[in-house]
Amino acid sequence: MRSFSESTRQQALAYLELYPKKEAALLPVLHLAQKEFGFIDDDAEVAVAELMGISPISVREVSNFYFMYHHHPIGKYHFQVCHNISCSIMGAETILGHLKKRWGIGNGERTADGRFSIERVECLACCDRGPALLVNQTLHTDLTPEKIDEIIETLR
Amino acid sequence: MLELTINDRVVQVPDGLNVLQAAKHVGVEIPHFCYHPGLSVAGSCRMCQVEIEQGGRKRIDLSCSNAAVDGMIVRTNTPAVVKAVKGVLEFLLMNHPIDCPICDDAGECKLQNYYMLHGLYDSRLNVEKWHKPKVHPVGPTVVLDCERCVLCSRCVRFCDEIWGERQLGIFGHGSNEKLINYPGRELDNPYSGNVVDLCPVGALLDKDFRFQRRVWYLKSVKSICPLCSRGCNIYLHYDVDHDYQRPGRRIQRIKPRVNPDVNRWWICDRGRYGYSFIDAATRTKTPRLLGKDADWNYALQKAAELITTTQKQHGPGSISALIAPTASNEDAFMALRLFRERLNIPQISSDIPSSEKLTADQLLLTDDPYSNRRGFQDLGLGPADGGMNAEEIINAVKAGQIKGLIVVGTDLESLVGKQVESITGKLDWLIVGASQENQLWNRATVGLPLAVYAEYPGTFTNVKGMVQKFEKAVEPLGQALPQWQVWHKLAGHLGADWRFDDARAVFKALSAGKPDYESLNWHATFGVDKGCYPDNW
Repeated sequence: MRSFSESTRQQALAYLELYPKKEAALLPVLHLAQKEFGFIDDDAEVAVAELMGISPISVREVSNFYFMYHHHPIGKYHFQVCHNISCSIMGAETILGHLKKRWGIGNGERTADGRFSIERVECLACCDRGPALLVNQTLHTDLTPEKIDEIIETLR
Repeated sequence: MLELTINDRVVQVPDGLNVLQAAKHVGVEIPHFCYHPGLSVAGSCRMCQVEIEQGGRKRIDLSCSNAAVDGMIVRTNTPAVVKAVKGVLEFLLMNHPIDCPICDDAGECKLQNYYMLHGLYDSRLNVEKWHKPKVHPVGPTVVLDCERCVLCSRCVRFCDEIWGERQLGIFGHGSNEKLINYPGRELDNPYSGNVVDLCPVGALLDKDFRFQRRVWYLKSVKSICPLCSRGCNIYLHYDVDHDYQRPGRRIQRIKPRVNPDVNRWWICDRGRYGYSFIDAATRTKTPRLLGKDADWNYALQKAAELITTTQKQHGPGSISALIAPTASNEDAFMALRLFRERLNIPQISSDIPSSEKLTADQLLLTDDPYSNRRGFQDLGLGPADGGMNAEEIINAVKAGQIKGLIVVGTDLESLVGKQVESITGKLDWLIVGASQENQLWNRATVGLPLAVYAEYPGTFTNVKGMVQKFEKAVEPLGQALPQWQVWHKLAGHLGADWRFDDARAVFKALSAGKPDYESLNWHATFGVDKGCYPDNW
């Protein structure tokens, strides 16, 4: 069983006030839950459902629909590699391949030490500077395997 | 009324309809999956697109979510509409397994029918189809095939809006989207079978009908559910010509019949799946005399002799009758005519406690498991009609005041438990009318095998006082007879000369002077239909 910290709880309740129908607050509340718990599992869904007074089924329908909610633990550093057309032309698959090889994990997986995870994502709105990568909230562009290694070194 | 143009035809329709309903009202069927008149509008399947022209502007739009408006011009068959609908259909069929030969819904499947209408193309898919859970036990009575599902959400909305509890959800995204129960929750509400009717394809199916019959072999009659006092309108789907799985299974399934005043589109699972007693191995098939099979004439002759002798020796009050109000109005009428009017038996009761306790719910189920208590009351066989109630009659039997007892449609377990000897030991004779072998059957002096509601036409009066007719689906098993016919014959053996040719004649006699009964149109429900689900919205 998961429960929200008091501050997150207050924030979520504030979101509920913003909309005429409480269901409308589900997306921001799910983001809050993801921030708090790291990912959205069954327990997190139930916690969100209880907080909002809706069915866990409604919560799951939404959290399953959107790819930006994770259902498994992600790494401390979550590497989101764009694979849309501009980045692909500029070598996104090489970047992905380099990460996978370096850590020995696949897309959507996490290293055993829990530090890193990889996810292939849609456009990061940097088509002019591909390949692009989002590490948590930090954007990195014009990537090469060497540049990737440098980024990883700074994350030690 | 408002006036609009549908496919170049100027038509008038009632107010308050959407375009899809308005078109149906004038005989134009618009293909659709997600729309159902008993549920909210979802607009998710996109099949019901039509061309709508208003104020000189044309658009392709959904007919389910647009209200019919005065002056609207609707076209359902333009090339643009056909192209749009075909496109939707191709997407829906893209990952569909097309396993129609082994699908129980084949023959009453919207996807199949619309493919005949709009498809007839080859699949353009050259990669593997998505695979999803199959034969998933989504609930105790329903099985789910996620691959066949078209995600119309009718079942989700049913649980949500009609039953009032979310039990199913549509999870995932894109081609991987699937309808399923939430982990740890089941589709276990007492109305779960309705999702099978609602499902426009073969995704949700009755476990008890799976692989039993091809639906086009089914025949159907209009009937009334006998399992509580609500009197839900049903279809009995039966087939006696194709035994695939269970020989002797004649009634194949029960489907709700739309009646806005009683059950709308729904029935409960208790009624839907509670038909096995009709073809049960425990059905009584032959008249019995002192524990041995006998023929009708001999058994009834003996019964007549017993009644006459006892009445002569001990007076009319030495006999009593207990008749459960599960029987039809015709049965009750004939019983009264024989026992009360002809034989002057003073103590006749239908006031038998049920051994099954029902709890009424918010939808249809009542707390009274007897289908015709109200009809018995109307005919003068209710608890308020003077005399002793069933318990007092049993006490009179135990006290030795009653020498002969006629018991119909009950095993008396609710009154005497398993201690049948406590009454049989006190009686000179016991006449038992039953459709199922029960604890009294083999102890009866005379046993009269009775037909069940699916085996003869008749009427029930429901808890609201509505008189409703049920039709005959199949022949009575063995030598069983409708209860009214048994009393009719017995009356003959007692010297009466009654001429009731059929149930209708009995009904006519019993309805005289009762406006609620006289207004019933006996022939309105008549006829055998194809069993493929006809109320298919």
